[in-house]
Amino acid sequence: MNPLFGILQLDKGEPNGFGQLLPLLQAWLQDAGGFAFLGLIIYIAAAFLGGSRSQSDKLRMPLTTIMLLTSVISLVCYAGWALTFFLEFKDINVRHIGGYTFEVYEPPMRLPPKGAALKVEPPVFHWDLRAMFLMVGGAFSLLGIVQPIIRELPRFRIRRIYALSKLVFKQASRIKALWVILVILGSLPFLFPAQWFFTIKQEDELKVTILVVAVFTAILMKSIAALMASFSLPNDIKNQTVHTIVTKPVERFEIVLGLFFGYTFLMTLVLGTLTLFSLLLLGVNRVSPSAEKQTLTARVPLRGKLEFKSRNDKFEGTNVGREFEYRKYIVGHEFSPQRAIWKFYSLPSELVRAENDRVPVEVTFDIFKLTKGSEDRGGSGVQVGLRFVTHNCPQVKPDPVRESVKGDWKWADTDLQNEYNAELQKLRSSGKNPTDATPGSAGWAEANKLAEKYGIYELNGKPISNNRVISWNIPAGLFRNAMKNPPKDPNVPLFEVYVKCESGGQMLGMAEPDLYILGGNQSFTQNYIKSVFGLWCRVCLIIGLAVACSTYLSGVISLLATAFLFLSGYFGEHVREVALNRSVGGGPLDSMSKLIKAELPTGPTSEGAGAKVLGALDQVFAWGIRRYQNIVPNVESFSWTEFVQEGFNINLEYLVANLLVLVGYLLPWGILSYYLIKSREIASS
Amino acid sequence: MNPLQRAVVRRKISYFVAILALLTLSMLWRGNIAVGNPNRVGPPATAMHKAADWVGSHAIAPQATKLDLRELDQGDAEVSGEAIRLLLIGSRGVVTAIMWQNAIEKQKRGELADLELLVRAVTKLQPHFLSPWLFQSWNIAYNVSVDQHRLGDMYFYIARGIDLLAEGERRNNRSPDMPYWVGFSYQNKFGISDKVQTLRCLFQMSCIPKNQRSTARLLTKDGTVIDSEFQKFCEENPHLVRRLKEKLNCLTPLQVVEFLKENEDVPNRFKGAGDVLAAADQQFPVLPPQFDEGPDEWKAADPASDDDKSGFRAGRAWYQYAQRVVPPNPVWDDGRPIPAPSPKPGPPGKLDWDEYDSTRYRMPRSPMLIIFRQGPPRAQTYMADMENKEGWFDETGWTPDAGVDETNRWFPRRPDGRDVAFGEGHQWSLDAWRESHRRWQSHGEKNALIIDPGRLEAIREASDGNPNTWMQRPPAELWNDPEKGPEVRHRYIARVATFFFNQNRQVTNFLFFLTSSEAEMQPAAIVARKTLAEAERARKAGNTSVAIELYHKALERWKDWLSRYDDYRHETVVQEELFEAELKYVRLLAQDDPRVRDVAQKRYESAIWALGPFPAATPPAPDGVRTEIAVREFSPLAKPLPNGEPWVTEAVKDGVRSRLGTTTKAAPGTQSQDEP
Repeated sequence: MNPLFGILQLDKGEPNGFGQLLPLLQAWLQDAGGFAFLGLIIYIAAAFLGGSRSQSDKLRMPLTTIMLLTSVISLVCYAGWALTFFLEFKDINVRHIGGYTFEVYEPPMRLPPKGAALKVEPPVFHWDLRAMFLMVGGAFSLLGIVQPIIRELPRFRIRRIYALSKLVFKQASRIKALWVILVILGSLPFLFPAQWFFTIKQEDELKVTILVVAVFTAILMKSIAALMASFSLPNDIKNQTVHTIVTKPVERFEIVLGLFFGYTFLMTLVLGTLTLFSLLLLGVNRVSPSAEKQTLTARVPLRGKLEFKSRNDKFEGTNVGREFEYRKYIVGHEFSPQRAIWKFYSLPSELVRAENDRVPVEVTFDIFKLTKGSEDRGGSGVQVGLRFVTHNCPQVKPDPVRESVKGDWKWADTDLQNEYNAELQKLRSSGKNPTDATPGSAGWAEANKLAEKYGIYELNGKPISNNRVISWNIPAGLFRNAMKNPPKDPNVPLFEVYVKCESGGQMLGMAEPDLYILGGNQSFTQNYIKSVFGLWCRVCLIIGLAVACSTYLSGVISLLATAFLFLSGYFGEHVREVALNRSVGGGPLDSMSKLIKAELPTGPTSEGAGAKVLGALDQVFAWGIRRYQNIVPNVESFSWTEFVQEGFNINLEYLVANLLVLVGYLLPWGILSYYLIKSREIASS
Repeated sequence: MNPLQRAVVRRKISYFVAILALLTLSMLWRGNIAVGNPNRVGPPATAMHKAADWVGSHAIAPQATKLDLRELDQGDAEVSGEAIRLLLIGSRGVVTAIMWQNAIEKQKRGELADLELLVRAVTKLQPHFLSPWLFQSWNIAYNVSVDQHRLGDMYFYIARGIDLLAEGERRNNRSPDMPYWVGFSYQNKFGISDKVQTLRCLFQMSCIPKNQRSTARLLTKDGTVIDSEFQKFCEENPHLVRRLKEKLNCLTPLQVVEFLKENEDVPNRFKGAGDVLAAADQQFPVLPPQFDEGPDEWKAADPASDDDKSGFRAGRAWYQYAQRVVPPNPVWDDGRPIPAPSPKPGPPGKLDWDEYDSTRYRMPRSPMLIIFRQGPPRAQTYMADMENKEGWFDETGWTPDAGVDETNRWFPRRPDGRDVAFGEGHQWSLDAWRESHRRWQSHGEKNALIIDPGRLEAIREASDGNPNTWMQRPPAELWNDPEKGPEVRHRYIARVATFFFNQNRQVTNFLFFLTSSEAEMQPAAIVARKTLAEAERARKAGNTSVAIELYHKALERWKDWLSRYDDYRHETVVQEELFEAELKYVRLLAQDDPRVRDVAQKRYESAIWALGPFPAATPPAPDGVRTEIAVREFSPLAKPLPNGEPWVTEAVKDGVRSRLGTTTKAAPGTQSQDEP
């Protein structure tokens, strides 16, 4: 019987890694740069139009040549960006200048119809002129807006920031109510485990406990961080205790940094303590062995790229109409030509030296039944066939003429295939069947030899269960073959897995993360701590946001603004729908008009002039929401609980990317807070 | 003390007095300080006493108690839920909405552990809002479970759905809907759903302590079945073992034990592996507590059970439990029940004939009250029907080795040479049908679905109405008129009763259930059905000659039985069953009976001779001829009833043939090529 393992459904795509840093940087320069440009314009306008400024004003808010220069360059870039729209209007795109070919703009993305799920593609770097103008313009705007900070940087002292942080830490830790709340609320999930209140399926006990602890800890940490960070500075200003600091030789921005680092340090300590308690709880918690097997692990998957292929080149997998459009399906039949193919373009070299010459492959498929099947012991299963091949054993799709060939995928080299079949037959007749062999047996040694020689290994008629992880071993010889003469073309995969559904009348659904080579297992404790890092990032994000807001707003408003921005991050999908004006029933004005006219909300919008005006206004609204979307943090990308729950390793690369994204998100807020605190007459408050 | 200080003291005193007065007043109003004594004995009450009684009766606490509005009157209080609600400081609605949305998302993604957690959390936050309990329990027991391809998982989620609803019932035990739908879920999921045979087996396993079905008991260390223990297990659980053998193809004792092993962690009623019952809310099947109206029903405190515990039995118990809180059927002047529509809520103490006391009773949301009330007898009918279908007829029980060759025997023969049998000495089907009839009879009498002809005639006469004003309630002044009122009311109620007598019988199909239970509880019915089941078994085992003989006997016995129950004989389901049996019999006759073959051959040869003399060679009679001969001359149903009526109508025959795909009738609108 197969062990129980969790399933990771990455419907929002693979988390960002090092490969996405460059595209993310470009997007950041475009977005943050856009806001920086707006800030720069306001700043310059205030300087020029604000009438005569006092000397202290000029000192506090200087207008430098660099600022003016970068503004002009940015302006030119944005003008270039605007020009690309004119060129698009004139249908001018690909240009050849001096032997170089470049695109003015990228063709607009083809979106699925309204109501259908919007697939989030991983970020890519755009080389077209429009994107580059935007990026360069943004970069110069950022340079211009950050220039006063850079100029002041030599005046900042780490010593002072440290002292201010220490002060904040001391002040906050003296709030007894905070500790009481933390002790009482923080200990609740440990004192009263979820199993006491909910009857949980044995194998899911640990999974649910981790979820409950994670949710509880997250709510507690985030709400306390938001409360403290939002009220600290406004209260200090209101109670005039801030005078004890500002009357000393301290830079204003140092106060902001002190607040941020002070609260971050405090919350890090609290989070560390809670993490220790959580690990203790998970350690002493008595759970069923099946739950331990499922969750107390950190599998390291090696994933490939998934493609669907059939006789028809346009085949992209079938949508069976499930609401969760995560998987695509292939039809099951003995002669079905449809295949799901996982392509591995790189493989770690350790695989060739795998223990016992076996490499585990794990799969999870969704079965979509078109027939009920018979009711016998354990229910009727579905069978699959898997073909593992290397680049040395390329496969070709079945002949397009249906009658001549059954839907079997063949070897490109038929002579080699015949040779392989003959050798396989010989081994079978000698009692060493490589296809059903178990690791350690004589058959397995033969399977390895055969796989190393030909670069193929097949598993046929394997029963699978719906949404259950099934594990099979494949010979390490396959990988030795794959490493022989690696292909020079980077588009040729080293290793492929062809999956076929063999049961007639059933369909098999799969997504990219559903099949992987098991690269090893890591420690659960380390994995849990890595997941806490995600929460730490979110707490930092809240502290940063709250501190930035509190430099200008009152405590309550800062708290509300922080909460609104942060919580918007949890409704990213909805915000995206509104931002792209893809809501079923139209934008807000269109919907309102339909409501008033008692029209069907899902019906087509009328073609009248009024409707067109409303449509245009909805577009403007959507533009506004898109700008709002730019400042909403992608909160969910910092959540790793699902990885821990399902027993999957959190790659360190993801965490580094998380940290960089966090820094990237907080930087513009830091710049904003610099200007806000500078412009504020604190001493007169 | 200066004047300012005096003013301060005065103000403080007046504040203190006001606080004290308001506090006392609020305590009086809330009923924390009991005032008055309505149960006073002794000297007559003075005006002061009366005033105190009035104040006491209008305080919040006594009124809440009277109207069952206190938290504890709604059902079991749940401390953790209360604590969480308090912690949420008024944002419960937002949290619930987010959780509900997340639960839907989790279900879409197939993350079922998270879904259940969220559902439980939502119900904890709003324990007295019935819709989430009803919707989500249905969602888990039906939608989530059906997505599970492993039947153990399917069973788990059905159990979780039902368990959720039962928990809802404990929190809201004045709701009739909760227990009714618990009963319905049991009846539906373990009675007539897909994969029902496996689910029934798992249900039975839930009622057996783990140590009694463990491999430690039934297998040796080397994995062979311990015959004596296995035989004992069969004696204890004949229904389960029979289902496994006959329905799930567990053809050897080892396969039976393997099934038990594969599903050993099925949710059950016990603490750990022993036979000590778990707390009522920790058991599955979850059962109602002991209640007055159903002392014989299956309840949480019942110890490890006998073998015939089924989903229908659990369903019946919950249906019966649900009846506690629904209003009784209205009664007429003679104090006996009268046909009536679903009653309306009325003011306590001033109830009209078609009203109920809303402080004592609750109306179910669905189904309509008369259907709601027939839940228990309906479940009993299902139970009796299941005994028939599974072959549990009489005291002879089940013989697993009947008709099995020597190599496939499970058990050696008894010393007297007979095969080992289980479940002997119990009139399974007969007893179940008798109970069913008793319940239908009682249900009919209590709800005026059965009225003796004399009384019914009296009601009809009293109605004496113009069809145009048949159901219109007379105006209030006439209704309340001291002189004309009684007569007007009497006539109106009689009209309503006449109408609802027919309607209630029709919507509930009451007569069918009553007559079927009456017909099925006859020993003749048991014998007829048993003979037919034996014929089926012989046919499936390939004992054609025995099967032919048994079919003939069975059809004769059916005729004999049904001829005494004319109404039941006319029911389509009965005719269909009879005709299907005849079809199988006729097929066997046509294929394998030499008598039919001889007669058919003779007739066929005669026909060929008639067409042209001295044919070269007569071929064997075609299948169609043999079938025709078997139907016309050998089938016991060939001869109609004494009144000339056929045993099975042509419409029913066509329907059955069409369903079985054996019809040769041309589809409407099609024409033969030979036709012009």
